[in-house]
Amino acid sequence: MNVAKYTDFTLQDFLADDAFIQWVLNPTDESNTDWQLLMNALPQKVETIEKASATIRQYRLQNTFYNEENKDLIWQRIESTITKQPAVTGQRKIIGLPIFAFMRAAAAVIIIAALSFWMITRNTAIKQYSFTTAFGEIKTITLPDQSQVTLNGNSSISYAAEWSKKMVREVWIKGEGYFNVTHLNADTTRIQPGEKFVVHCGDVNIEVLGTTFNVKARHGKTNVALITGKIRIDYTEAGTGNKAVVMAPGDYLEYAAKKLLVTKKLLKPASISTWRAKEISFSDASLKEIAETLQDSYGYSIDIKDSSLLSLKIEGDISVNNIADLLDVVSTTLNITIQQPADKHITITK
Amino acid sequence: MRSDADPSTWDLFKQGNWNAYTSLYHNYYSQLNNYGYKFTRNNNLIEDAIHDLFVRLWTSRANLGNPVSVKNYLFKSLRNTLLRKIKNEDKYTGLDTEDYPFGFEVSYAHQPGAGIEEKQFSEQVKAVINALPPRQKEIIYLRFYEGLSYDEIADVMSISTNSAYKLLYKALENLQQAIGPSQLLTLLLCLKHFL
Repeated sequence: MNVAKYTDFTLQDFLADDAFIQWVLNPTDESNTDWQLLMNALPQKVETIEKASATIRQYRLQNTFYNEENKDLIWQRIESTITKQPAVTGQRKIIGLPIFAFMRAAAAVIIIAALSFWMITRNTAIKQYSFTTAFGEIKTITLPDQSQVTLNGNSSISYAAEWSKKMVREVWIKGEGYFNVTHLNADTTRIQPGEKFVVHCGDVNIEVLGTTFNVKARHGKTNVALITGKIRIDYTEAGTGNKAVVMAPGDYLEYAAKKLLVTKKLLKPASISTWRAKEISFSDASLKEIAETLQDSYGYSIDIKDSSLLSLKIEGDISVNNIADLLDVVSTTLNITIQQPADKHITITK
Repeated sequence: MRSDADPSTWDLFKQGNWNAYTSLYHNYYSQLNNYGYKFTRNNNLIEDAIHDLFVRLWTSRANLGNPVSVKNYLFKSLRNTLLRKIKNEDKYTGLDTEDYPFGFEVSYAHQPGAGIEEKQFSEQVKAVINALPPRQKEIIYLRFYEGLSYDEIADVMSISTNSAYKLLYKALENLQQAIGPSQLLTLLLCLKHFL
Protein backbone atom coordinates (compact mmCIF):
# COMPACT_ATOMS: atom_id res chain seq x y z
CA MET A 1 0.00 0.00 0.00
CA ASN A 2 1.22 3.44 -0.93
CA VAL A 3 1.52 5.22 2.42
CA ALA A 4 2.80 8.48 0.93
CA LYS A 5 -0.43 8.84 -1.05
CA TYR A 6 -2.46 9.12 2.13
CA THR A 7 -0.27 11.44 4.25
CA ASP A 8 -2.23 14.57 3.38
CA PHE A 9 -5.64 12.96 2.99
CA THR A 10 -8.65 14.76 4.46
CA LEU A 11 -11.94 13.16 5.40
CA GLN A 12 -13.25 14.08 1.99
CA ASP A 13 -10.30 12.47 0.24
CA PHE A 14 -10.80 9.18 2.07
CA LEU A 15 -14.48 9.21 1.18
CA ALA A 16 -13.57 9.62 -2.47
CA ASP A 17 -10.93 6.89 -2.46
CA ASP A 18 -11.80 3.61 -4.18
CA ALA A 19 -9.55 1.42 -2.04
CA PHE A 20 -10.93 2.98 1.12
CA ILE A 21 -14.56 2.42 0.14
CA GLN A 22 -13.88 -1.13 -0.96
CA TRP A 23 -12.34 -1.82 2.44
CA VAL A 24 -15.27 -0.34 4.38
CA LEU A 25 -17.94 -2.00 2.24
CA ASN A 26 -16.31 -5.41 1.81
CA PRO A 27 -13.45 -5.82 4.26
CA THR A 28 -11.20 -8.82 3.65
CA ASP A 29 -8.34 -10.16 5.80
CA GLU A 30 -5.95 -8.64 3.36
CA SER A 31 -7.48 -5.16 3.32
CA ASN A 32 -7.84 -5.19 7.11
CA THR A 33 -4.13 -5.81 7.44
CA ASP A 34 -3.28 -3.19 4.83
CA TRP A 35 -5.28 -0.48 6.52
CA GLN A 36 -4.06 -1.42 9.96
CA LEU A 37 -0.48 -1.05 8.71
CA LEU A 38 -1.35 2.28 7.18
CA MET A 39 -2.84 3.54 10.43
CA ASN A 40 0.29 2.42 12.29
CA ALA A 41 2.41 4.37 9.83
CA LEU A 42 0.18 7.46 9.94
CA PRO A 43 -1.14 7.76 13.51
CA GLN A 44 -2.22 11.35 12.87
CA LYS A 45 -4.71 10.02 10.29
CA VAL A 46 -6.38 7.45 12.51
CA GLU A 47 -9.13 9.76 13.69
CA THR A 48 -9.95 10.89 10.16
CA ILE A 49 -10.00 7.30 8.89
CA GLU A 50 -12.28 6.21 11.70
CA LYS A 51 -14.55 9.13 11.11
CA ALA A 52 -14.72 8.44 7.39
CA SER A 53 -15.59 4.79 7.90
CA ALA A 54 -18.14 5.70 10.61
CA THR A 55 -19.74 8.11 8.15
CA ILE A 56 -20.19 5.40 5.55
CA ARG A 57 -21.46 2.87 8.07
CA GLN A 58 -23.86 5.41 9.51
CA TYR A 59 -25.09 6.30 6.04
CA ARG A 60 -25.75 2.64 5.28
CA LEU A 61 -28.06 2.22 8.27
CA GLN A 62 -30.85 3.70 6.15
CA ASN A 63 -34.28 2.13 5.70
CA THR A 64 -34.65 -0.40 2.94
CA PHE A 65 -37.50 -1.20 0.60
CA TYR A 66 -37.19 -4.72 -0.73
CA ASN A 67 -40.88 -5.26 -1.49
CA GLU A 68 -40.47 -9.02 -0.91
CA GLU A 69 -44.21 -9.53 -0.41
CA ASN A 70 -44.89 -8.67 -4.04
CA LYS A 71 -41.96 -10.51 -5.55
CA ASP A 72 -43.98 -13.52 -6.72
CA LEU A 73 -46.88 -11.42 -7.90
CA ILE A 74 -44.73 -9.22 -10.11
CA TRP A 75 -42.99 -12.29 -11.48
CA GLN A 76 -46.36 -13.77 -12.41
CA ARG A 77 -47.21 -10.53 -14.18
CA ILE A 78 -43.94 -10.64 -16.09
CA GLU A 79 -44.50 -14.25 -17.08
CA SER A 80 -48.03 -13.67 -18.25
CA THR A 81 -47.06 -10.59 -20.25
CA ILE A 82 -44.28 -12.54 -21.94
CA THR A 83 -46.39 -15.56 -22.74
CA LYS A 84 -49.31 -13.69 -24.24
CA GLN A 85 -47.33 -11.12 -26.08
CA PRO A 86 -47.71 -11.52 -29.83
CA ALA A 87 -46.10 -8.17 -30.57
CA VAL A 88 -45.27 -5.43 -28.18
CA THR A 89 -47.81 -2.65 -28.53
CA GLY A 90 -48.03 0.52 -26.56
CA GLN A 91 -51.25 -0.45 -24.85
CA ARG A 92 -51.15 2.05 -22.06
CA LYS A 93 -50.07 4.93 -24.17
CA ILE A 94 -53.25 4.77 -26.16
CA ILE A 95 -55.35 5.58 -23.14
CA GLY A 96 -53.16 8.55 -22.46
CA LEU A 97 -53.71 10.32 -25.76
CA PRO A 98 -56.12 13.22 -25.28
CA ILE A 99 -58.12 12.30 -28.36
CA PHE A 100 -58.79 8.81 -27.12
CA ALA A 101 -59.61 10.10 -23.66
CA PHE A 102 -62.14 12.38 -25.25
CA MET A 103 -63.63 9.56 -27.29
CA ARG A 104 -63.85 7.41 -24.24
CA ALA A 105 -65.62 10.19 -22.39
CA ALA A 106 -68.03 10.62 -25.26
CA ALA A 107 -68.64 6.89 -25.44
CA ALA A 108 -69.26 6.72 -21.72
CA VAL A 109 -71.82 9.48 -21.81
CA ILE A 110 -73.68 7.87 -24.67
CA ILE A 111 -73.62 4.46 -23.09
CA ILE A 112 -74.79 5.72 -19.73
CA ALA A 113 -77.47 7.85 -21.31
CA ALA A 114 -78.65 4.94 -23.43
CA LEU A 115 -78.51 2.63 -20.49
CA SER A 116 -80.58 4.84 -18.24
CA PHE A 117 -83.20 5.09 -20.97
CA TRP A 118 -83.19 1.33 -21.23
CA MET A 119 -83.46 0.99 -17.48
CA ILE A 120 -86.39 3.36 -17.28
CA THR A 121 -88.28 1.47 -19.96
CA ARG A 122 -87.50 -1.87 -18.37
CA ASN A 123 -87.84 -0.57 -14.89
CA THR A 124 -90.03 -3.33 -13.57
CA ALA A 125 -87.86 -6.14 -14.91
CA ILE A 126 -84.66 -5.19 -13.11
CA LYS A 127 -84.24 -6.18 -9.54
CA GLN A 128 -82.05 -3.98 -7.39
CA TYR A 129 -79.99 -5.22 -4.51
CA SER A 130 -79.03 -2.88 -1.74
CA PHE A 131 -77.03 -3.29 1.44
CA THR A 132 -76.62 -0.94 4.36
CA THR A 133 -74.18 -1.22 7.23
CA ALA A 134 -74.89 -0.07 10.79
CA PHE A 135 -72.53 2.17 12.73
CA GLY A 136 -69.28 0.38 13.39
CA GLU A 137 -70.19 -2.50 11.07
CA ILE A 138 -67.88 -3.47 8.24
CA LYS A 139 -69.17 -5.71 5.51
CA THR A 140 -67.72 -7.13 2.32
CA ILE A 141 -70.07 -7.69 -0.58
CA THR A 142 -69.32 -9.66 -3.71
CA LEU A 143 -70.89 -8.11 -6.78
CA PRO A 144 -72.30 -10.18 -9.66
CA ASP A 145 -68.99 -9.92 -11.56
CA GLN A 146 -67.01 -11.15 -8.52
CA SER A 147 -65.72 -7.65 -7.81
CA GLN A 148 -65.67 -6.90 -4.13
CA VAL A 149 -66.74 -3.91 -2.12
CA THR A 150 -66.00 -3.48 1.54
CA LEU A 151 -68.42 -1.05 3.14
CA ASN A 152 -67.38 0.95 6.15
CA GLY A 153 -69.91 1.65 8.94
CA ASN A 154 -73.04 3.69 8.17
CA SER A 155 -72.75 3.22 4.42
CA SER A 156 -74.90 1.77 1.70
CA ILE A 157 -74.63 0.41 -1.79
CA SER A 158 -77.10 -0.56 -4.46
CA TYR A 159 -76.80 -2.24 -7.84
CA ALA A 160 -78.74 -4.32 -10.32
CA ALA A 161 -79.17 -7.94 -9.27
CA GLU A 162 -78.02 -9.26 -12.61
CA TRP A 163 -75.22 -7.95 -14.76
CA SER A 164 -74.90 -8.87 -18.37
CA LYS A 165 -71.80 -8.74 -20.52
CA LYS A 166 -73.38 -6.07 -22.67
CA MET A 167 -74.10 -3.76 -19.81
CA VAL A 168 -71.95 -1.27 -17.96
CA ARG A 169 -71.41 -2.46 -14.42
CA GLU A 170 -72.86 0.23 -12.19
CA VAL A 171 -73.13 0.74 -8.45
CA TRP A 172 -74.40 3.57 -6.32
CA ILE A 173 -72.72 4.19 -3.00
CA LYS A 174 -73.27 6.40 0.03
CA GLY A 175 -70.74 6.63 2.83
CA GLU A 176 -67.39 4.93 2.42
CA GLY A 177 -66.31 1.86 0.49
CA TYR A 178 -63.20 0.11 -0.69
CA PHE A 179 -63.46 -1.40 -4.17
CA ASN A 180 -61.55 -4.24 -5.68
CA VAL A 181 -62.81 -4.36 -9.22
CA THR A 182 -62.40 -7.44 -11.40
CA HIS A 183 -60.55 -6.64 -14.58
CA LEU A 184 -62.52 -7.86 -17.58
CA ASN A 185 -60.82 -5.90 -20.28
CA ALA A 186 -58.14 -7.60 -22.34
CA ASP A 187 -57.73 -5.03 -25.06
CA THR A 188 -57.59 -1.47 -23.77
CA THR A 189 -58.02 -0.06 -27.25
CA ARG A 190 -61.50 -1.54 -27.58
CA ILE A 191 -63.44 -1.35 -24.37
CA GLN A 192 -66.72 -3.20 -24.38
CA PRO A 193 -69.59 -1.76 -22.34
CA GLY A 194 -69.56 -4.76 -20.01
CA GLU A 195 -65.94 -4.14 -19.27
CA LYS A 196 -66.73 -0.75 -17.83
CA PHE A 197 -67.39 -0.31 -14.17
CA VAL A 198 -68.92 2.92 -12.93
CA VAL A 199 -69.32 3.96 -9.32
CA HIS A 200 -71.84 6.74 -8.71
CA CYS A 201 -71.02 8.60 -5.59
CA GLY A 202 -72.72 11.89 -4.80
CA ASP A 203 -72.46 13.90 -8.01
CA VAL A 204 -69.18 12.29 -8.99
CA ASN A 205 -68.89 9.30 -11.30
CA ILE A 206 -65.88 7.07 -11.14
CA GLU A 207 -65.08 4.99 -14.17
CA VAL A 208 -62.89 2.01 -13.69
CA LEU A 209 -61.21 -0.69 -15.71
CA GLY A 210 -59.84 -2.93 -13.00
CA THR A 211 -58.44 -1.55 -9.87
CA THR A 212 -58.58 -0.99 -6.13
CA PHE A 213 -59.59 2.31 -4.63
CA ASN A 214 -61.28 3.89 -1.68
CA VAL A 215 -64.21 6.26 -2.02
CA LYS A 216 -65.84 8.27 0.71
CA ALA A 217 -68.84 10.59 0.45
CA ARG A 218 -69.81 12.26 3.68
CA HIS A 219 -70.82 15.79 4.67
CA GLY A 220 -71.37 16.72 1.05
CA LYS A 221 -67.73 15.99 0.33
CA THR A 222 -66.48 13.10 -1.80
CA ASN A 223 -62.95 11.83 -1.60
CA VAL A 224 -61.34 9.16 -3.72
CA ALA A 225 -57.99 7.47 -3.18
CA LEU A 226 -56.63 5.17 -5.87
CA ILE A 227 -54.52 2.29 -4.66
CA THR A 228 -53.81 0.34 -7.83
CA GLY A 229 -54.85 0.58 -11.46
CA LYS A 230 -56.34 3.56 -13.18
CA ILE A 231 -59.66 5.36 -12.89
CA ARG A 232 -61.32 8.36 -14.40
CA ILE A 233 -63.42 10.74 -12.35
CA ASP A 234 -66.20 12.62 -14.12
CA TYR A 235 -67.55 15.57 -12.24
CA THR A 236 -69.21 18.90 -12.88
CA GLU A 237 -67.41 22.06 -12.05
CA ALA A 238 -69.28 25.24 -11.27
CA GLY A 239 -68.90 27.57 -14.26
CA THR A 240 -67.10 25.26 -16.67
CA GLY A 241 -69.40 22.25 -16.69
CA ASN A 242 -68.39 18.65 -17.17
CA LYS A 243 -64.83 17.79 -16.37
CA ALA A 244 -62.76 14.67 -15.98
CA VAL A 245 -59.51 13.79 -14.32
CA VAL A 246 -57.54 10.57 -14.67
CA MET A 247 -56.08 9.26 -11.46
CA ALA A 248 -52.93 7.19 -11.12
CA PRO A 249 -52.06 4.96 -8.18
CA GLY A 250 -51.38 6.94 -5.04
CA ASP A 251 -53.48 9.90 -6.17
CA TYR A 252 -56.02 11.35 -3.82
CA LEU A 253 -58.69 13.93 -4.48
CA GLU A 254 -61.48 15.68 -2.66
CA TYR A 255 -64.52 17.17 -4.29
CA ALA A 256 -67.30 19.24 -2.80
CA ALA A 257 -69.67 22.00 -3.80
CA LYS A 258 -68.93 21.37 -7.47
CA LYS A 259 -65.21 21.99 -7.12
CA LEU A 260 -62.06 19.92 -6.80
CA LEU A 261 -60.74 20.95 -3.41
CA VAL A 262 -57.65 18.86 -2.87
CA THR A 263 -55.50 16.84 -5.22
CA LYS A 264 -52.37 15.25 -3.93
CA LYS A 265 -50.26 12.14 -3.84
CA LEU A 266 -50.58 9.91 -0.83
CA LEU A 267 -47.37 8.64 0.68
CA LYS A 268 -49.04 5.45 1.78
CA PRO A 269 -52.13 4.94 -0.39
CA ALA A 270 -52.95 1.58 1.14
CA SER A 271 -53.25 3.05 4.61
CA ILE A 272 -56.39 4.97 3.63
CA SER A 273 -58.33 1.72 3.65
CA THR A 274 -56.95 0.19 6.83
CA TRP A 275 -60.43 0.55 8.31
CA ARG A 276 -61.18 -2.68 6.45
CA ALA A 277 -59.11 -4.62 8.96
CA LYS A 278 -61.33 -3.19 11.71
CA GLU A 279 -58.34 -1.23 12.60
CA ILE A 280 -58.87 2.43 13.23
CA SER A 281 -56.10 4.40 11.65
CA PHE A 282 -55.23 7.95 10.76
CA SER A 283 -52.29 9.65 9.17
CA ASP A 284 -51.44 13.26 10.11
CA ALA A 285 -55.08 13.71 11.14
CA SER A 286 -56.67 16.75 12.71
CA LEU A 287 -59.04 16.39 15.65
CA LYS A 288 -61.79 17.39 13.25
CA GLU A 289 -61.15 14.41 10.99
CA ILE A 290 -61.00 12.06 13.95
CA ALA A 291 -64.25 13.44 15.36
CA GLU A 292 -65.95 13.10 11.97
CA THR A 293 -64.90 9.49 11.64
CA LEU A 294 -66.25 8.75 15.11
CA GLN A 295 -69.57 10.30 14.13
CA ASP A 296 -69.81 8.90 10.65
CA SER A 297 -68.55 5.36 11.00
CA TYR A 298 -69.25 4.63 14.65
CA GLY A 299 -72.32 6.74 15.43
CA TYR A 300 -70.83 8.82 18.22
CA SER A 301 -72.13 12.25 19.12
CA ILE A 302 -69.40 14.67 20.02
CA ASP A 303 -69.44 17.95 21.93
CA ILE A 304 -66.56 20.30 21.39
CA LYS A 305 -67.27 23.72 22.90
CA ASP A 306 -63.95 25.24 21.95
CA SER A 307 -63.86 24.97 18.17
CA SER A 308 -60.19 25.97 18.05
CA LEU A 309 -59.44 22.46 19.31
CA LEU A 310 -60.69 21.04 16.01
CA SER A 311 -57.62 22.16 14.16
CA LEU A 312 -55.20 20.39 16.53
CA LYS A 313 -53.24 17.86 14.56
CA ILE A 314 -51.57 14.59 15.40
CA GLU A 315 -48.45 14.22 13.30
CA GLY A 316 -47.68 10.76 12.02
CA ASP A 317 -49.71 7.57 12.04
CA ILE A 318 -52.19 6.29 14.58
CA SER A 319 -53.35 2.72 14.38
CA VAL A 320 -55.49 1.20 17.11
CA ASN A 321 -57.97 -1.64 17.45
CA ASN A 322 -60.78 0.05 19.33
CA ILE A 323 -62.33 3.39 20.16
CA ALA A 324 -61.15 3.38 23.78
CA ASP A 325 -57.53 3.13 22.64
CA LEU A 326 -58.08 5.82 20.07
CA LEU A 327 -59.46 8.21 22.69
CA ASP A 328 -56.49 7.44 24.93
CA VAL A 329 -54.01 8.24 22.19
CA VAL A 330 -55.83 11.41 21.20
CA SER A 331 -56.18 12.78 24.71
CA THR A 332 -52.58 12.11 25.69
CA THR A 333 -51.03 13.30 22.44
CA LEU A 334 -53.06 16.48 22.16
CA ASN A 335 -53.16 17.00 25.90
CA ILE A 336 -56.93 17.46 26.00
CA THR A 337 -59.62 16.01 28.24
CA ILE A 338 -62.05 13.52 26.74
CA GLN A 339 -65.02 12.46 28.79
CA GLN A 340 -67.72 9.96 28.02
CA PRO A 341 -70.83 10.91 30.04
CA ALA A 342 -72.97 8.37 28.17
CA ASP A 343 -72.47 5.52 25.76
CA LYS A 344 -71.46 6.87 22.35
CA HIS A 345 -71.41 10.39 23.67
CA ILE A 346 -68.16 12.27 24.08
CA THR A 347 -67.19 15.70 25.31
CA ILE A 348 -63.82 17.18 24.47
CA THR A 349 -62.35 20.05 26.48
CA LYS A 350 -58.96 21.59 27.09
CA MET B 1 -21.14 -10.88 -3.99
CA ARG B 2 -22.84 -12.59 -6.83
CA SER B 3 -21.28 -10.56 -9.56
CA ASP B 4 -18.76 -13.32 -10.36
CA ALA B 5 -21.53 -15.63 -11.48
CA ASP B 6 -23.16 -12.98 -13.60
CA PRO B 7 -21.41 -13.14 -16.97
CA SER B 8 -22.29 -16.79 -17.49
CA THR B 9 -25.86 -16.30 -16.26
CA TRP B 10 -26.11 -13.39 -18.65
CA ASP B 11 -24.84 -15.49 -21.56
CA LEU B 12 -27.23 -18.32 -20.78
CA PHE B 13 -30.09 -15.86 -20.50
CA LYS B 14 -29.25 -14.34 -23.87
CA GLN B 15 -29.44 -17.81 -25.39
CA GLY B 16 -32.99 -18.01 -24.09
CA ASN B 17 -32.37 -20.04 -20.95
CA TRP B 18 -35.44 -19.46 -18.79
CA ASN B 19 -33.73 -20.49 -15.55
CA ALA B 20 -30.98 -17.99 -16.09
CA TYR B 21 -33.59 -15.31 -16.73
CA THR B 22 -35.47 -16.26 -13.56
CA SER B 23 -32.31 -16.09 -11.52
CA LEU B 24 -31.55 -12.59 -12.80
CA TYR B 25 -34.95 -11.57 -11.46
CA HIS B 26 -34.39 -13.23 -8.11
CA ASN B 27 -30.88 -11.86 -7.68
CA TYR B 28 -31.66 -8.27 -8.46
CA TYR B 29 -35.31 -7.83 -7.46
CA SER B 30 -34.73 -6.40 -3.98
CA GLN B 31 -31.83 -4.13 -4.94
CA LEU B 32 -33.88 -2.70 -7.81
CA ASN B 33 -36.87 -2.06 -5.55
CA ASN B 34 -34.65 -0.38 -3.01
CA TYR B 35 -33.09 1.87 -5.63
CA GLY B 36 -36.47 2.69 -7.19
CA TYR B 37 -37.94 3.59 -3.84
CA LYS B 38 -35.47 6.46 -3.54
CA PHE B 39 -37.12 8.14 -6.52
CA THR B 40 -40.77 7.64 -5.65
CA ARG B 41 -42.85 6.36 -2.80
CA ASN B 42 -45.38 5.10 -5.32
CA ASN B 43 -44.86 1.32 -5.19
CA ASN B 44 -47.00 0.75 -8.25
CA LEU B 45 -44.71 2.81 -10.42
CA ILE B 46 -41.69 0.88 -9.19
CA GLU B 47 -43.44 -2.43 -9.74
CA ASP B 48 -44.56 -1.37 -13.22
CA ALA B 49 -41.02 -0.28 -14.04
CA ILE B 50 -39.58 -3.61 -12.88
CA HIS B 51 -42.23 -5.45 -14.86
CA ASP B 52 -41.50 -3.45 -18.01
CA LEU B 53 -37.76 -3.77 -17.52
CA PHE B 54 -37.85 -7.58 -17.30
CA VAL B 55 -40.37 -8.00 -20.10
CA ARG B 56 -38.20 -5.87 -22.36
CA LEU B 57 -35.12 -7.78 -21.25
CA TRP B 58 -36.68 -11.04 -22.39
CA THR B 59 -38.20 -9.81 -25.64
CA SER B 60 -35.04 -8.06 -26.78
CA ARG B 61 -32.54 -10.61 -25.40
CA ALA B 62 -31.23 -11.42 -28.86
CA ASN B 63 -30.11 -7.83 -29.40
CA LEU B 64 -28.47 -7.27 -26.03
CA GLY B 65 -24.74 -6.75 -25.77
CA ASN B 66 -22.42 -7.72 -22.96
CA PRO B 67 -22.54 -5.02 -20.34
CA VAL B 68 -19.53 -4.49 -18.08
CA SER B 69 -21.68 -5.49 -15.18
CA VAL B 70 -25.20 -6.90 -15.19
CA LYS B 71 -26.09 -4.96 -12.08
CA ASN B 72 -25.06 -1.75 -13.77
CA TYR B 73 -27.11 -2.52 -16.81
CA LEU B 74 -30.21 -3.30 -14.72
CA PHE B 75 -29.80 -0.23 -12.51
CA LYS B 76 -29.47 2.00 -15.51
CA SER B 77 -32.50 0.50 -17.27
CA LEU B 78 -34.63 0.72 -14.15
CA ARG B 79 -33.61 4.32 -13.62
CA ASN B 80 -34.53 5.31 -17.18
CA THR B 81 -37.82 3.41 -17.16
CA LEU B 82 -38.85 4.71 -13.78
CA LEU B 83 -37.95 8.33 -14.42
CA ARG B 84 -39.92 8.22 -17.66
CA LYS B 85 -42.91 6.81 -15.78
CA ILE B 86 -42.67 9.42 -13.07
CA LYS B 87 -42.59 12.17 -15.66
CA ASN B 88 -45.54 10.70 -17.57
CA GLU B 89 -47.58 10.16 -14.48
CA ASP B 90 -47.03 13.75 -13.56
CA LYS B 91 -48.13 15.11 -16.90
CA TYR B 92 -51.01 12.72 -17.06
CA THR B 93 -52.85 13.43 -13.85
CA GLY B 94 -51.89 16.99 -13.22
CA LEU B 95 -52.03 16.15 -9.55
CA ASP B 96 -49.41 17.43 -7.20
CA THR B 97 -46.05 18.38 -8.58
CA GLU B 98 -44.25 18.69 -5.26
CA ASP B 99 -42.40 15.37 -5.35
CA TYR B 100 -41.28 15.78 -8.92
CA PRO B 101 -39.46 15.78 -11.17
CA PHE B 102 -36.73 13.71 -9.58
CA GLY B 103 -36.50 13.59 -5.88
CA PHE B 104 -34.11 11.17 -4.26
CA GLU B 105 -34.92 10.39 -0.66
CA VAL B 106 -33.03 8.37 1.88
CA SER B 107 -34.90 7.71 5.10
CA TYR B 108 -33.81 6.55 8.52
CA ALA B 109 -35.78 4.86 11.20
CA HIS B 110 -35.33 5.86 14.78
CA GLN B 111 -32.20 4.14 16.08
CA PRO B 112 -32.35 3.24 19.72
CA GLY B 113 -29.37 2.75 21.99
CA ALA B 114 -25.97 4.26 21.23
CA GLY B 115 -24.20 6.86 23.30
CA ILE B 116 -24.85 10.57 23.14
CA GLU B 117 -21.83 11.20 20.96
CA GLU B 118 -22.77 8.48 18.52
CA LYS B 119 -26.32 9.76 18.36
CA GLN B 120 -25.12 13.25 17.71
CA PHE B 121 -22.91 11.99 14.95
CA SER B 122 -25.68 9.97 13.37
CA GLU B 123 -27.97 13.02 13.47
CA GLN B 124 -25.25 15.04 11.77
CA VAL B 125 -24.87 12.52 8.98
CA LYS B 126 -28.63 12.29 8.44
CA ALA B 127 -29.04 16.06 8.45
CA VAL B 128 -26.32 16.71 5.92
CA ILE B 129 -27.47 13.87 3.64
CA ASN B 130 -31.05 15.12 3.69
CA ALA B 131 -29.94 18.62 2.82
CA LEU B 132 -28.08 17.55 -0.34
CA PRO B 133 -29.66 18.17 -3.76
CA PRO B 134 -31.23 15.01 -5.30
CA ARG B 135 -28.41 14.21 -7.72
CA GLN B 136 -25.80 14.49 -4.98
CA LYS B 137 -27.94 12.24 -2.81
CA GLU B 138 -28.12 9.74 -5.63
CA ILE B 139 -24.40 9.63 -6.29
CA ILE B 140 -23.71 9.17 -2.56
CA TYR B 141 -26.14 6.26 -2.59
CA LEU B 142 -24.57 4.59 -5.61
CA ARG B 143 -21.13 5.08 -4.09
CA PHE B 144 -21.57 4.30 -0.40
CA TYR B 145 -24.51 1.94 -0.56
CA GLU B 146 -24.10 0.12 -3.83
CA GLY B 147 -20.32 0.49 -3.97
CA LEU B 148 -20.23 1.40 -7.66
CA SER B 149 -17.10 2.82 -9.27
CA TYR B 150 -17.01 6.24 -10.95
CA ASP B 151 -17.32 4.63 -14.37
CA GLU B 152 -20.29 2.57 -13.29
CA ILE B 153 -21.98 5.57 -11.67
CA ALA B 154 -21.44 7.63 -14.81
CA ASP B 155 -23.06 4.87 -16.85
CA VAL B 156 -26.09 4.48 -14.55
CA MET B 157 -26.72 8.21 -14.27
CA SER B 158 -25.98 8.83 -17.97
CA ILE B 159 -23.29 11.42 -17.31
CA SER B 160 -19.57 11.49 -18.16
CA THR B 161 -17.04 9.98 -15.77
CA ASN B 162 -15.64 13.43 -15.32
CA SER B 163 -19.03 14.80 -14.26
CA ALA B 164 -19.41 11.89 -11.88
CA TYR B 165 -16.12 12.88 -10.20
CA LYS B 166 -17.23 16.47 -9.95
CA LEU B 167 -20.67 15.61 -8.63
CA LEU B 168 -19.31 13.30 -5.95
CA TYR B 169 -16.68 15.88 -5.06
CA LYS B 170 -19.41 18.47 -4.47
CA ALA B 171 -21.41 16.09 -2.32
CA LEU B 172 -18.35 15.11 -0.28
CA GLU B 173 -17.42 18.74 0.19
CA ASN B 174 -20.78 19.28 1.80
CA LEU B 175 -20.25 16.25 4.00
CA GLN B 176 -16.79 17.39 4.97
CA GLN B 177 -18.05 20.84 5.93
CA ALA B 178 -20.72 19.40 8.14
CA ILE B 179 -18.81 16.65 9.90
CA GLY B 180 -15.15 17.17 9.06
CA PRO B 181 -13.75 19.60 11.59
CA SER B 182 -14.35 17.39 14.58
CA GLN B 183 -12.34 18.98 17.38
CA LEU B 184 -13.56 22.41 16.47
CA LEU B 185 -17.14 21.25 16.53
CA THR B 186 -16.93 19.49 19.88
CA LEU B 187 -15.22 22.53 21.24
CA LEU B 188 -17.97 24.80 20.03
CA LEU B 189 -20.58 22.50 21.49
CA CYS B 190 -18.80 22.55 24.84
CA LEU B 191 -18.56 26.30 24.80
CA LYS B 192 -22.26 26.54 24.14
CA HIS B 193 -22.94 24.66 27.34
CA PHE B 194 -20.93 27.15 29.35
CA LEU B 195 -22.47 30.23 27.84
